[in-house]
Amino acid sequence: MTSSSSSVSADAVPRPDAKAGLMGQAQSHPLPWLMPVIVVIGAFYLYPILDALRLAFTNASLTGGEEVYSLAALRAVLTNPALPTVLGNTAIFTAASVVGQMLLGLGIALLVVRGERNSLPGMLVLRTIVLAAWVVPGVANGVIWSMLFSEAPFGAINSTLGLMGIAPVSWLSSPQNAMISVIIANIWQGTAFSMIVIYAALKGIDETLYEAAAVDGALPWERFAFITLPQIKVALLINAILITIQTLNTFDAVISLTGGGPGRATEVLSLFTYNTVFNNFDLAGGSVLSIVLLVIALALAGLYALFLPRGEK
Amino acid sequence: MAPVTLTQISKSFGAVETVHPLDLEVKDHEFLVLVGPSGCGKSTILRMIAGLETVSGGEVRIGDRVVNTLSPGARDVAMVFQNYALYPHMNVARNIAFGLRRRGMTRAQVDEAVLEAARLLEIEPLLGRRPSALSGGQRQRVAMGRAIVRKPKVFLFDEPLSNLDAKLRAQMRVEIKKLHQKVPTTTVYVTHDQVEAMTMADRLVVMNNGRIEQVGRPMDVYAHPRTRFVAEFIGSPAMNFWDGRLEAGSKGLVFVAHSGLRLSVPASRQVAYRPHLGRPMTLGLRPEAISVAPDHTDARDTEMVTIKLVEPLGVETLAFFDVGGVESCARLDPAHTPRAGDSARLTFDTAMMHLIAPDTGEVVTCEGRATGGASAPRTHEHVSHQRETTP
Ligand SMILES: Nc1ncnc2c1ncn2[C@@H]1O[C@H](COP(=O)(O)OP(=O)(O)OP(=O)(O)O)[C@@H](O)[C@H]1O
Ligand SMILES: [Mg+2]
Repeated sequence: MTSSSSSVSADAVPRPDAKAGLMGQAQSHPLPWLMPVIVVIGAFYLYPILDALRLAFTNASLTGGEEVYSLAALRAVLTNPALPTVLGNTAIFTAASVVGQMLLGLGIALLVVRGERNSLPGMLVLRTIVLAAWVVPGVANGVIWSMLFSEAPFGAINSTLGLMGIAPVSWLSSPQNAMISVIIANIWQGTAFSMIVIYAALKGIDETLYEAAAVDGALPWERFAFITLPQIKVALLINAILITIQTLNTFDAVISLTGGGPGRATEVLSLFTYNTVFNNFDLAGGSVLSIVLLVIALALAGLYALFLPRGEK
Repeated sequence: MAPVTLTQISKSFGAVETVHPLDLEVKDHEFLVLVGPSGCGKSTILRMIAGLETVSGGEVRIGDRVVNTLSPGARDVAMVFQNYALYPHMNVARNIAFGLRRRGMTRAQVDEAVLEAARLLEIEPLLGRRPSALSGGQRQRVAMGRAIVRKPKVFLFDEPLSNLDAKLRAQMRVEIKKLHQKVPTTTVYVTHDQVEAMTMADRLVVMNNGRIEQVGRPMDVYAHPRTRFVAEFIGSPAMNFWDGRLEAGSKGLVFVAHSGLRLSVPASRQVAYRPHLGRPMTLGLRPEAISVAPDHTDARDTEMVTIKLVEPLGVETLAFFDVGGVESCARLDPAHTPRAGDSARLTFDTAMMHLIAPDTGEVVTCEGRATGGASAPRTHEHVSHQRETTP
């Protein structure tokens, strides 16, 4: 396009002004055209980030008072003995959730696509049920699972286990179990997103590739490994980036299920940040933590992006 | 390499029977072409041979083995798909090697086989490329490479050239034939293009509505179509058809078209056609049986017509005219072609005529007619059904 227009202008052929048109103006003076976008992004995305960055180097508190620039907050946060625990929790929670959601989402998506291919009834219902979990607000999700995991005699899971003669499990009061419970609740809710992304990718695979592979003698697992996986690789990576960031930012389900406890057993970074700001009113410390969160998210996204195919198709 | 034998195979999708029970034998080394209009069940038959579609009834045999329950991979067939179905994330070499690797050959053996196939198809320089970086013709070659490298018992082609432009199609047609001469593997080739069918086939199977209309060598099918459908489908431009009746003239039988056109029945066919005297019949005549009459003779089997349109094709010119409201076509020598709007006297060579019973659509047989080979038994019900859907 650009090469053809330049070759046209290289000729001495007079060109009507209309031909230069809006595109020409946009190319020679881009700024006015980009201003609206820059303003919106600047006001709603960039400014808060920059402000958080600024606040991280103050002594700002939620209760107000005079702001003084200092490194105290930074030092306090980074030397906080709770930080390693919180980061560890975050790593476990995020890794397990992402892996779980991907595997479960992939499994269900494969099942649905297969079912649809063999025109099994009920596939739409299955998809809808999975999606229903996703539209439940995080806090409600926590409440639902706190009822399921309840250790009181009427707790749904424990009473079911009781019927089968299995002793009650301390789902929320034991530190290890609490982390597992939180992860289960989060996977249950987040799987739908992965399923939809992977389902769409699977639907996009040309059916005849499988037929060609079948004629080539590929076994079912080989078809999965050599056709399906490479074909949905990009979708899987992008999905991984999205749900990693999503999970890093999750605290609503945790707060309503365990509140971060017992102790700090399920306190993840986003919840820790929330508590720092809204329980301790430490706006500066919270800003430091949210910057840490941002850096972790960016680093992970960058890591995944390394595996995205570049240039060649 | 092995023969393929289909015995009473049929296919239903739900309640609809798309392929009615049919028998077909593909001989060892034979290049068999399945041809027919869209939706007649050609691909379905091919896919049943490949094992990509289960059969609803009957038996598929490759060599002397019944393969009905075998998976496609176990049947030792190779297929070239219409859209090529190359694995997009693998380069050409890996695409070709895929089937071999699945069969547990060592890397060295595979590499050698791939190179050999690539040389045969002249795609060696492309081995490192991804399919997305290939032209249509190159993809076609790679797809063929993937098929031949495995040295399968049977090649199956499903309209492999229909995505190519006319010139490339003609070129690939020749190459596929040449390849078959070098590697004479039993081949079933599906196409809806009757030129491809005529030029490539050892034997031709003309299908319509899930049934076999006729099986035979291309020139036999062309010269002796068994039904009106085959007469109309094979040959381009299509055969002319005029409705009329057989009458007795002073020198034997005469076909009198509704338009008044009178054409005498050649002596050799008098006996065969006599039982149809007086009945409404259809006469079929190919465009090449019509020529410009020598200057203003008033001989038999000629007619003055007004040429409505001419299409010069180089070696020949097509002239279109009306016979009793039926658009008709003549294939004329370009040196002696009237112009559009001209009146011209045309000669109709009835030695090449076909007489068709309009109620059954069957061509009346006469001496010299080649036998076509296996064909589904034709019933009245099927032929009338067929005529309804014939455009
Ligand atoms: N999976 C299927 N389910 C239902 N009907 C089908 C299915 N596959 C094919 N058909 C029907 O079977 C008939 C024959 O299909 P087929 O693909 O064999 O036609 P074809 O002769 O190959 O036509 P074309 O030249 O268009 O490829 C068609 O009417 C088609 O609609
Ligand atoms: Mg087809």
